[in-house]
Amino acid sequence: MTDRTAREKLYRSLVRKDRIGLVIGRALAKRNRNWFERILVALIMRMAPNGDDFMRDPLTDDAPEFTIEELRRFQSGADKPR
Amino acid sequence: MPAAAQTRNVICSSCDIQCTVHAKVVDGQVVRIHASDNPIFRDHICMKAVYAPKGFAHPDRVLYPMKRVGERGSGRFERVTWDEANADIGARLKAIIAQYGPEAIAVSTSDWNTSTENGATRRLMNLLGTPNYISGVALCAGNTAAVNRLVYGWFPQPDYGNTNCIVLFGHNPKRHSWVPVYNAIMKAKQRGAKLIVLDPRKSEMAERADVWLPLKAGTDAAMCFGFLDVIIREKLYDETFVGKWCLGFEELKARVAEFPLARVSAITGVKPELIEKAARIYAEGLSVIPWTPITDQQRNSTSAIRLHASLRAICGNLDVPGGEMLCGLNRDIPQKSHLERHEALSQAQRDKQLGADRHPVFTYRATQLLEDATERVWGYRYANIVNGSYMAVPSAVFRAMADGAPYPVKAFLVQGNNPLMSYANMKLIHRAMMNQDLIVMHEQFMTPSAQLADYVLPGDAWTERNALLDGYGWSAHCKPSQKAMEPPGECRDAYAFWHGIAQAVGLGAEFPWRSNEELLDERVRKIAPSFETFAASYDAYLAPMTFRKYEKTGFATPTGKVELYSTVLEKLGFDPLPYWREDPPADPAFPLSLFMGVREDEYFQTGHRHIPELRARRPEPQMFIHPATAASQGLKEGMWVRVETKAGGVKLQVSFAGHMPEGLLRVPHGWWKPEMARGGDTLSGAWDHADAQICPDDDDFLDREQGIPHFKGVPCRIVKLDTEAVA
Repeated sequence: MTDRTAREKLYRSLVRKDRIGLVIGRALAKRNRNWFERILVALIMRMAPNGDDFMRDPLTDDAPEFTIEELRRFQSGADKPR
Repeated sequence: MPAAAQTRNVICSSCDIQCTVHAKVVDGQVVRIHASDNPIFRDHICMKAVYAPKGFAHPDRVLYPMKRVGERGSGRFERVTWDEANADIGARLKAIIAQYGPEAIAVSTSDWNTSTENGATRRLMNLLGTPNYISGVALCAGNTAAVNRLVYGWFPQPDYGNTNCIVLFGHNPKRHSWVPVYNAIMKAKQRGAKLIVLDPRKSEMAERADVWLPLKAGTDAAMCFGFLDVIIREKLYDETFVGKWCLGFEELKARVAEFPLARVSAITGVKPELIEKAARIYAEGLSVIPWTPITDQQRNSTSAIRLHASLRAICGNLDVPGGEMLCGLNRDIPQKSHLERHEALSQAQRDKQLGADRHPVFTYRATQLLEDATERVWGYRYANIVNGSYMAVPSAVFRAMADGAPYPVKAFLVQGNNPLMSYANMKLIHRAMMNQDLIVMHEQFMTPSAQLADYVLPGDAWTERNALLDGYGWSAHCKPSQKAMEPPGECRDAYAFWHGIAQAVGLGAEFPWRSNEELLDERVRKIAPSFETFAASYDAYLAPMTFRKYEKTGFATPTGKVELYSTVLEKLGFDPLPYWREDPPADPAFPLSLFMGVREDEYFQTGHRHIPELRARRPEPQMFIHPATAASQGLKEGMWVRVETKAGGVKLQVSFAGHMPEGLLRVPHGWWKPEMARGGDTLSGAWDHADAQICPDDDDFLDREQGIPHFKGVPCRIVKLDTEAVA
């Protein structure tokens, strides 16, 4: 089993799609150390820099909301990249 | 007090997959793109959509019509009005037509960027009398559509929801790339469907596969012969369907017999028992072979696509639930095919279509042989599926532009497309563009191609327009996209661009709709009183789906059957059966092999490098190589190198990739750096990094029937660069 499939299995065993908050809540309630460790792994994977493609991805789930001021500032070139 | 937020249903056109997403609008600006709440679409979103508003708000966006003031390619422009631009463009087009004929006008577009053109591109071209339309779809889906039409008259869509097996020929949909396809495959796997992946790389999909066949790059056609060998030898095909509906099965069988598994194994590098295993799973139940951009871009592409089609047909997977559906045209909503007026282009002008003499498959020369059959089965003579059925051959068009042979092409109209970097042989394309009397670009940014133009006219973005996406004329499903904000500056939609030129050349009466909105109202008239009502009522308008339609109409081919033996290709003087064409002899000067044409998740084609958040994730153009191959070349990770083929070279940063096979490099498509100097010898980094420079387009590297280039397994070498060369 490759690393990626192993992590996918682990993730799926932990949470079904976007229910990670629910699982964390359950784990907290149970004060189950094993669950905590697994959730931590899942959270770390969720924050992986390239985003693992088998999970709900922070890049899209937590999509940024640009403020009007930010967009205007950007449009004016004040925040021009590089 | 902050303004109340609104939500609009928009279709993302940051890539070509057309995800329905939501735009949150505050104070007239789109401030967030998030997933749709429709359960069908809610997982269809990727980072390119999320960061699109930032891209559209970029300070370098072209907001006003710009006219060249310096030498062509100097990158110097001045602002003019739309009226001034259109008047001058119209006058110059008329002069070119008077001197050289209408065929001296060529057009290049990218359909996903121009979803409001409503067929206006080809309508104007057909009315002017020029057949010389090209598009990136010549090497990505459009060509596959045309080849599929030769076999059974349509380009099928997989029924992921009910299939038992999915076969991916190198295709690698991911969480941020081809997202709906990725989601559909994941769901199918969850309910137990098998996944077979054929890919030299151990891609993400290969890791998930039940069977992974690590075939040598560019050998898809040979592999298909291997599948067919197993399926025919073991009689795993649908004998009833073959007997009743297939033309040329015995001839195909004889051709397949030339490819015993030992030969296929020698060509593809895959063990015979693995091929047997995969072929048996494919033939076991209802299976699909989704479209793949990998098979599109090979020396044997036409044969490989026809062999995919043959597998679908003989295994009984055509137009059945769980197999691959022949959707036809939507009969309630006029599609682009209906609006393009192909009947207005005379036979004499069709015969001038560039490249049709040598590579006819997606040109009028071949597809007009299907017109009667198309009308019989689909109710209309023209089916421009994925814009791919009436194209000129890009390399022939660029040669005519550069050298005037077989006749001069002197005007180049471009919409939402960066042609300099989107086809093979960038040096030729540059020479071709520099030899034009008139280049007009409808664009959002000063791309390397736009820097060579006479006019750059400002284009709108997908959050700034109403649009009706008709599944590229492929699926018959129509999806509305609601305008979420006004376009900035003087940006205009694609229909407005063509409408303006039509008026300037005296064809305004043929474009009676004054705006995109008026035309959209007319398109949905059978369903709703206006486009606005339609868009408020439907997330998608699905044509009624029926199966085994061929039992009533036959297939849309000249014989009405599935043509395993192509009567069209025979008539055009080509081998009527699929075949295998060997690689040219190895050149010791180019000992490695190169895999091109695939993008990184952050970018689509040549776009998006200006978006800071995406660029921060993938800042430099890279070359992916197995660590062992890198070691054999004395390379370290992060080092800059020049990758060279016989066509040219590009600068890239070495990135180790354990999933690549040894000896094969991968160079991603479409790199330039918008922040670099424009014009001149730089063209914003295109001359340094664009992969189009290393794509050869001479005969050894062109598919015979289509004339499209070979991107999968091009001989190459690596030259280490010192720091000065990189600087």
